[in-house]
Amino acid sequence: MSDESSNFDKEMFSYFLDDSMDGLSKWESYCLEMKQTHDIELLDGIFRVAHSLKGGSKVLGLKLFSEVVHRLEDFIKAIQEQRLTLTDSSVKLFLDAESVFRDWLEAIPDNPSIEPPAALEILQRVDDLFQQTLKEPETLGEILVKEGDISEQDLQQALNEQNRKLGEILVENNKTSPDKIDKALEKQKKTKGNIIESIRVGRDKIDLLMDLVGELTIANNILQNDLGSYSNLNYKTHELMDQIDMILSRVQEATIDIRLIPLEAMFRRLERVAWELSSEQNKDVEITKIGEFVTLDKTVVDKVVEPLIHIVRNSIDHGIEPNAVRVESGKSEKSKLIIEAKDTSGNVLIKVTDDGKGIDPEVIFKKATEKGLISGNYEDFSKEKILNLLFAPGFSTAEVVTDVSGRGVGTDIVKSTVKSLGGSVWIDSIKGQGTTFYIQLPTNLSLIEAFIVRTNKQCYAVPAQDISEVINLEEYNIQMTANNQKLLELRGEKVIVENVSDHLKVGNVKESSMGSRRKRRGTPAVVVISHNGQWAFELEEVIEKQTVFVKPLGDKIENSLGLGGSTILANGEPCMILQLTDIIRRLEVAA
Amino acid sequence: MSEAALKEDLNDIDMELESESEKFSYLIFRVGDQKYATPLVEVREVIEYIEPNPIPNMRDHFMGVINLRGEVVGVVDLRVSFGEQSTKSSTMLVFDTEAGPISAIVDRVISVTNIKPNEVEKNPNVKTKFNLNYYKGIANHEDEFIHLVDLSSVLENDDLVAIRKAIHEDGH
Repeated sequence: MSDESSNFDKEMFSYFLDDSMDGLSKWESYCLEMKQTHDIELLDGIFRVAHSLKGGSKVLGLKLFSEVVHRLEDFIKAIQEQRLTLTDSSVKLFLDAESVFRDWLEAIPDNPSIEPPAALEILQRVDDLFQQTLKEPETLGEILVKEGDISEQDLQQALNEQNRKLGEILVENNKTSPDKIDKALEKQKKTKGNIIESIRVGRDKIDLLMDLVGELTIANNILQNDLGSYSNLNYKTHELMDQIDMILSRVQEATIDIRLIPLEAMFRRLERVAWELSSEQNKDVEITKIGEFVTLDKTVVDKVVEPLIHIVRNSIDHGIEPNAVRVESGKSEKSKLIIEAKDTSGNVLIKVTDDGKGIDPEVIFKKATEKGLISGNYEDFSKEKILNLLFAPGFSTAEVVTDVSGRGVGTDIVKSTVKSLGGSVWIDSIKGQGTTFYIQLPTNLSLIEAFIVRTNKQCYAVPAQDISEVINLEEYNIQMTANNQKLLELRGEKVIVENVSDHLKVGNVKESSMGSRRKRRGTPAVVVISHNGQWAFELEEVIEKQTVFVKPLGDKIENSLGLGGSTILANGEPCMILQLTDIIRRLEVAA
Repeated sequence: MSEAALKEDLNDIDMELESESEKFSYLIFRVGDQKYATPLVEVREVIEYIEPNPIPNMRDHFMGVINLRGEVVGVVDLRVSFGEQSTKSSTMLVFDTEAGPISAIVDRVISVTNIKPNEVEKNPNVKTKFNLNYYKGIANHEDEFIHLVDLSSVLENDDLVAIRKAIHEDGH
């Protein structure tokens, strides 16, 4: 045994691993498509992957692995040769095998001779299916032939007639012309085999490149700031500086673009989770994916996968009613789950919509009142505000869960994850008709538009996407409420006024050299819209808006209230990214 | 033995000696009236004092951040941590920790010295402000007492935040 593991060629394995993981992704997508279409031709693709898995694992001496793959290959062949029929359980087997292989491959470097129980289970299931699918009832045609009612030839003829291609039928019925069909087929082929040549690059290299571009951006900001004030530079130098600035912004875009990946793979995973859970619960769910080619930063995708799985599971588990209940309430038995992504400027909006039973705001309100999260009359709050209480920490305890269709479970974790990525999450639901979860995420985490502001003599960068507008407080009539809260009215809406410096406790004060430092006329404030209302944060000065490169500071510092990363300003000063939404969250919890 | 091979051998011996002495190399610095030593390998660089930009909602001994050649580095004032008086002129030691780069303000860097294990009293009967996991003992070196600390780990595990994000307070 020990011999085997010491002989294990790690380098060769890592090549095999990379290839296999790619192959398995394809495997998975074939399976998911097959699940919808039951198209036997898709098995060719799975077979190809299996074949190379088998070859590679044999060379590496992974005996059991190649054996399991081999058995699956036999099984696929049997279906291809129509000795067996393709059933839902065989598709499920292929899907399960795919995840078993993945886990297995990941465990191999530590223990090449590992024999995961799940693998043996797959073997067993293959054998079982061989038996079962063989035993499947014969087709009508076969029975008729056996009974001597029709001849084999008759059957074949009839089958041929039935089994014609869609295109042929459409042409025959004069619905379209042959060349249009050809064109469409061509297009289909193109999208099926859409391969862009790619190079595998380590994540660390891309991160390093991104870091360097960031440093370059900062250095350039400083240079432009410093040299810009020299009037005796010649024309050529100025032109060159502009050019550098322009090229740099293209370099920024291109570098960000490297890290962007389509949501396709994530959507596939979500679809699979939904499909597995719904078949487990015997719910007939139609899953639709929209916008799977929208792109997001890989870091964002990796982090948001779990929250989304959570949401999808919730929708299937608690949102969508059992088939019988749906029929009773006059809905179609087949339910719908739509996973959708939309690209809006600088942001991606992901929606998960189900047409299940929805959420009753009154129940939420009652529970929230019991928990002391809210007080007052039900009628005084908007439905939106009440529904989004589901994300409040402390709401998601087990007792609420069962009552309110389980929507509380971990939703605060969903929110905190999304928040940590600089995004936001909210919910909309119509009782009896369904629920939609919205997750909005920034396309990239590194370069953001931000307002540079001053408060308490310090500079901070506030992400522009958090701010709805900048106002001058002196133009508004500010009222004090009984509990010492300042309020103003902005276009008929109540806005709570807070001074940012009250929430940023600084011990020693070093004055920032950014901004005018002179007392300006007016008292600027930035308005932030939260899901529960509007807030105006009073500042000393709003200096400028610029693109900043966000440098993470690590949890050690970023766990502090209101902070999310840092950047370096054009004057070389380090500066914190201020998350006003974080402060609002704290105020809301305290309220 | 060929000359080249001999040279290589000598090189190997050199390397060994170097890494051997590296193990005992300590950076000696002063905070208040006490001397401290921290393993030299852990120290990324020693820099002249840069005035930090404060960060809100942090503990008192966290002074803020500096821009160190484009990198944002947190600053801890060891004099505040150790309850000493802050004097004006000072030096910073920069460490790369798991929690990111952090620099520590000390009063003065004294020297780099080899301290042999036999000079170290592992469990001295002295009161220390350090977590004992990072306090390696006290050395009697050239008739002086020096506290041996794994400063990099101290900084890495130091709790800096005074007011946490709402989520971390109520979420779990």
